[in-house]
Amino acid sequence: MSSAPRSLKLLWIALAVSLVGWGVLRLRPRWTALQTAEAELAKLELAPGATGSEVQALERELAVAKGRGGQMAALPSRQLSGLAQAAGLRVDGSRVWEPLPRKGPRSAPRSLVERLRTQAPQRLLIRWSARGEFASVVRFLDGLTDQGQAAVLELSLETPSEGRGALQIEMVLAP
Amino acid sequence: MIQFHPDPISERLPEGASCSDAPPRSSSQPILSGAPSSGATPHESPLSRRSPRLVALSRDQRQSVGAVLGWDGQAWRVLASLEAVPNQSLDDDVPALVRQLESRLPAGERLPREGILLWSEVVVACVDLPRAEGLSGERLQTLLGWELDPYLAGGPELELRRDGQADVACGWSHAPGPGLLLACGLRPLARDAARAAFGRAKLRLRGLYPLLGCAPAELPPGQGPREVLELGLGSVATSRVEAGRVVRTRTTRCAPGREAATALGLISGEVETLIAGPVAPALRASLVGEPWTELPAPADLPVGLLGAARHALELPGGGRLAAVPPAPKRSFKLPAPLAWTLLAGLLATALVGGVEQQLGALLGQTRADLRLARERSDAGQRAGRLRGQLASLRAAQALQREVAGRRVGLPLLLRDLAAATPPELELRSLREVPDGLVLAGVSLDEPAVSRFVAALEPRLRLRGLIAAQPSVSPARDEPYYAFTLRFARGGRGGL
Repeated sequence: MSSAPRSLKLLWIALAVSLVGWGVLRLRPRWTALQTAEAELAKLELAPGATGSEVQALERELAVAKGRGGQMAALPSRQLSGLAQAAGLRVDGSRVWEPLPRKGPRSAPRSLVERLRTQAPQRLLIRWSARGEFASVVRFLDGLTDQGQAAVLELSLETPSEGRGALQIEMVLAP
Repeated sequence: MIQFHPDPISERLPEGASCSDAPPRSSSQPILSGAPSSGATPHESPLSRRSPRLVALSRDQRQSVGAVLGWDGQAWRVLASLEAVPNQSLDDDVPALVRQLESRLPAGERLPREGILLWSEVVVACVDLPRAEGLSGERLQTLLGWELDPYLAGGPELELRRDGQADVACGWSHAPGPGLLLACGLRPLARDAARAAFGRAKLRLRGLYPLLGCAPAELPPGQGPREVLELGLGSVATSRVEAGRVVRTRTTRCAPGREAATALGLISGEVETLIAGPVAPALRASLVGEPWTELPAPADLPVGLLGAARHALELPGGGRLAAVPPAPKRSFKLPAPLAWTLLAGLLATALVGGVEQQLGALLGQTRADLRLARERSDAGQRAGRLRGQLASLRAAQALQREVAGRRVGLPLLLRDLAAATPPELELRSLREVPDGLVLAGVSLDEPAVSRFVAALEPRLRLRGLIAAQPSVSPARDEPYYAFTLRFARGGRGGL
């Protein structure tokens, strides 16, 4: 083999090596970056998006909603007891309400107490056991209405088993 | 070896001139001005360093003449000159001549680096080449080679080259104007030998000129037709100059010593005839009464030598002549495999470059899209959080409203119960369950229960409680009917 074809072959090899090197050094990082960017872009396109104006509208809406509702102010327990006493109820027991483990299916409706407990866990809920006349209960409830703060969330009235005497009253209050 | 003449030309006197007629010549004496008709102008000042200089050699079978010439802007200065009998070998003669010339240079002068050679091997002719201006140099070289080849001596160089072209090194005049083209040529081997000989003398050969035929460059300006005669050993050359161009040149061979008679026969008298100096006394005597003038050659240097130097230094008038360049013009031709390789490399480079550029543009666009998508996603996440807060707030507010509604509705419910309860029915239990209200009691008869339900149902419906079918059964150990009544939450409103 003469030197010229050998030089030419070397030139071809150098050309090929240069091209491969160029591809490795220049093209591959760009290609990798492009693939990564496209994958991330595809993922982001699937994610829920919003425009700036939508965010601003939501912020305005939230500010309006916050301004609309006030916090439920708690009625002092002494005042609540006084109200019951004035209505003619005799409170036998008072304890903090604790949720009972749910026995029914998960789809069963939740009581107002449970929902309030979930929504405002900081709010104290009280369970009262009391005795009194039906009229006393109505008066007590009227008193709460007039007072405008506390409310009875659950009420249960039971006639004593002997059939006479005051009603057994169980109630859950949000003071 | 060269046999040098005992005294240089510049120190010899023309024959027929007495010692008193010959002015003393210094080695830097001007011998011919740029306008030759004005004659030589004496100069005593040394030649400027910037003035162009040249070593001019002429050679034929009889003698070699060498001179170191300088042009001071107005006239020639002969810095050194000599005459010698040539040897067979040009390779030895040229370095010896140059060494001798260098030794004769005035103090402070250095030998020029370039030189020219007027050689009997170079032939000159006027060639009829129509539209020569439009031809490429290579094509012109080919055509002139064919035209000049018959005038050149035979030998191994006579064979054609493999590509069919005549093996002749050519040069031609670049003087503008119509008419025949003055061209000269010699065998490439002779040209290469001359270049090698100059190289041995450490000179760069600038051009090769015919021994006879270079005197027309020294003609003073003029538009009329003129003929210049130059006498050499066994030959007389006539050159016709019209409008600044050499339009005809002819070399007439004759027996040595018959040059004067031959020249006499060539003088026609139709046009002005000039005889290039130095004119031999015998010829001068023979031409008495003939219409001729002398093209003067001070210092006894052949006028042709000065004319060739004028051409080589590109001085005015030199463009009339033709000279053979010292080396062939090499036309670079890329080998086909190398060309294909380079082309492939270029294409591949362009391809990869294009891909890189396209990839870069795509990457830039994708990154811009990604930035927008990120902004949109961030806004979406923020909007989601805001929606959650809003929903939570609304749920809390709805719950507050429900509690407030219950505060008002519960006493009303109890009053409705009291109002709807008939006398024959006793309500014993009221229990709120998550999905509604359960009432239980006893009644004296079943219709009382129905009446109770009928009275209560529309009232409670307004509060979102829907009555189910009552359960009525005789009470155990009691003369009553026990009943259970369920009201399910549904619809709007409610406690």
